[in-house]
Amino acid sequence: MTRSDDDEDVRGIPDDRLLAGEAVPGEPELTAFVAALRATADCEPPAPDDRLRALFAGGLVPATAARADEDVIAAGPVAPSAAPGVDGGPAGADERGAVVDELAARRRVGLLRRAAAVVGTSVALKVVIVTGAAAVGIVGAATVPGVPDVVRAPARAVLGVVLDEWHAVTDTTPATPDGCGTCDGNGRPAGRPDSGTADGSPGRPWSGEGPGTDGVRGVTWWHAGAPEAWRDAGTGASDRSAWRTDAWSDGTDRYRDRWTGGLSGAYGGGDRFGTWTSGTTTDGRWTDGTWTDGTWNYGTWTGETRTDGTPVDGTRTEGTQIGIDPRHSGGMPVRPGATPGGTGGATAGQRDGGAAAGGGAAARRGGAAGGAGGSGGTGQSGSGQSAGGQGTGADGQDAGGQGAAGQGAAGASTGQRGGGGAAGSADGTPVGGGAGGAGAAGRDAGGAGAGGADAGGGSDRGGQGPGGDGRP
Amino acid sequence: MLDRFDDVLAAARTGHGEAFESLYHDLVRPVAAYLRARGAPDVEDLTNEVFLAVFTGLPRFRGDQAHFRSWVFTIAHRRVVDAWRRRARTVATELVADPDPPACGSAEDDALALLATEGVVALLARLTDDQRDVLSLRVVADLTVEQTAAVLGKPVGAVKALQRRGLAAVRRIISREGVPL
Repeated sequence: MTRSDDDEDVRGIPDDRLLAGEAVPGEPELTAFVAALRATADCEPPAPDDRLRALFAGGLVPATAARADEDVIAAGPVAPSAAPGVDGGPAGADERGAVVDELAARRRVGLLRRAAAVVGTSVALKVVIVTGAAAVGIVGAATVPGVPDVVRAPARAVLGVVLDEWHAVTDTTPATPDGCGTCDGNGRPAGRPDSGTADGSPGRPWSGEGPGTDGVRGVTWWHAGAPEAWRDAGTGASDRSAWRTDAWSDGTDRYRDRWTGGLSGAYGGGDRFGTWTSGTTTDGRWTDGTWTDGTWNYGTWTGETRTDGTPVDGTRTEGTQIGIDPRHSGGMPVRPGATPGGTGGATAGQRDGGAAAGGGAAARRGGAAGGAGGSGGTGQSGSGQSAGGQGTGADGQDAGGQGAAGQGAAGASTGQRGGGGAAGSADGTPVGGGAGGAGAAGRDAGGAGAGGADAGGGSDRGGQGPGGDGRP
Repeated sequence: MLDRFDDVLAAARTGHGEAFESLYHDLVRPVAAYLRARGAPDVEDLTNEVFLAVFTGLPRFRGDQAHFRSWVFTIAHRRVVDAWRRRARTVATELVADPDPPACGSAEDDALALLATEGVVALLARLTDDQRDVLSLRVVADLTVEQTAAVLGKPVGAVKALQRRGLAAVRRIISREGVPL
């Protein structure tokens, strides 16, 4: 049979008449089929079950029926549960009640499930939102500029803990952002030295980050101003492991003791601060005025602004890093000239019989500390001991030594004081040694040191002024 | 057909038991027959479930007797579809006649009815589901084409085409295989 034959066959069926129950001539099979199919509806129907019998007997509360309908339609057919009547006949009020109760119970369960789903979803959503907001707030407080430290500090602490835990879990090493001046190797805010404070003085609060601009010394030593190569070299001042934290007992030689590694070679085995003499300082506080001579790191202080060595704000010129980290200046800031300066003075004093040779060496490059002051004049009798002026470069860049006023220490034997500091310039202009400090009163007070011979202009050593007369 | 359908329906809406029973007896035969023709797995249980759903949903129903009849068979149609879906998830079964055939009168009549019923059900089982639905609703439920279309959710034209093709298929089967009815 082709498709057209099939279509014609279908169209030829008197379907309406057949389905209406008429006996259609020529369609005995279909007439019989429809009749047989219709006859199936005349057979005895199934008997109502207990639930229906309960409804027939007792009816149904309309309100309950209305509510139960939703459950029936939504949740499917009601499972049989009501027991048949005792006599096997139509169920009574108890069975009707059972049906109603069952429908009501279904409704209650459905409501409970819906409520649980809503509550669960709501709680989970709230947890996600609150957690996300807290994370964003903490990260923002820790990273966005302008946030007060009061807020930033705890935020960074929290963030640091989280990062540490994360790195511990993932076993990864956090990367330090390039140019990050406020993060240490762990990605946390720049900390302070292991002991003491950032400016090198015990107990002084760390007050800044920038290298050489705010007088913060400790930071520039090993952190903010240090190039990455310093930190990572493992041998430089920026290497924390090279620091000893237990050597700051009395302040004497504090730096030498503290720097146990890294720069020892460059500084002659830690004698970089050789201008310190044992006993000169007793408490290690460089702010108390005891560090007034020979300390390499005051070379950039002008004699006018710093009289007692206190690195208060505004009194310090640039050049912090020269004295702090030699490699930052591109060379050794504290050249051996420091020691020769002092030595020279002493030698001169000895040679000249009381003439204190002041004037430190002013390194042209490296801006190093000037040489230690010459020794105090000894007059004709004893030999004095004096520390002369000191010069440091500004930042290691062609800064001429600028001698601080020499201040002779008390003579060891005669009490004579030799003066003689070298005045330099801060800009590298070769200037000879400045006037020496006035000799202290005494029998053999040192004379004013005249400007030393101009040895600037690129020479490593500044002028060396003649010492005082040494004579009364 | 109920003579006072509106009164009965109003009473049933108020939860009156006798009204439920009247509605039940008016439609239980065609409903059971439809379910049987559709090869429902358990005609008796499914019939009861259909009417339980009808009675509990009465407060939401609005319409006359014709609408009510369509509504009842809509529920029956959905129930049997659901039943087959549930059954399909458990075991695969063939469309078979009700193992507990209905009684239609005397023993002789019952025997003939059994044969006829089995034959009709077997014949319907060879049609497509849609053809089977249309013929069952049109003949057993005595629904119009429009009512049938509403129950099945199909266009009227589709229902007409289905009933023609269903009858054509039946005629081919009978003429080719000589199925006794």
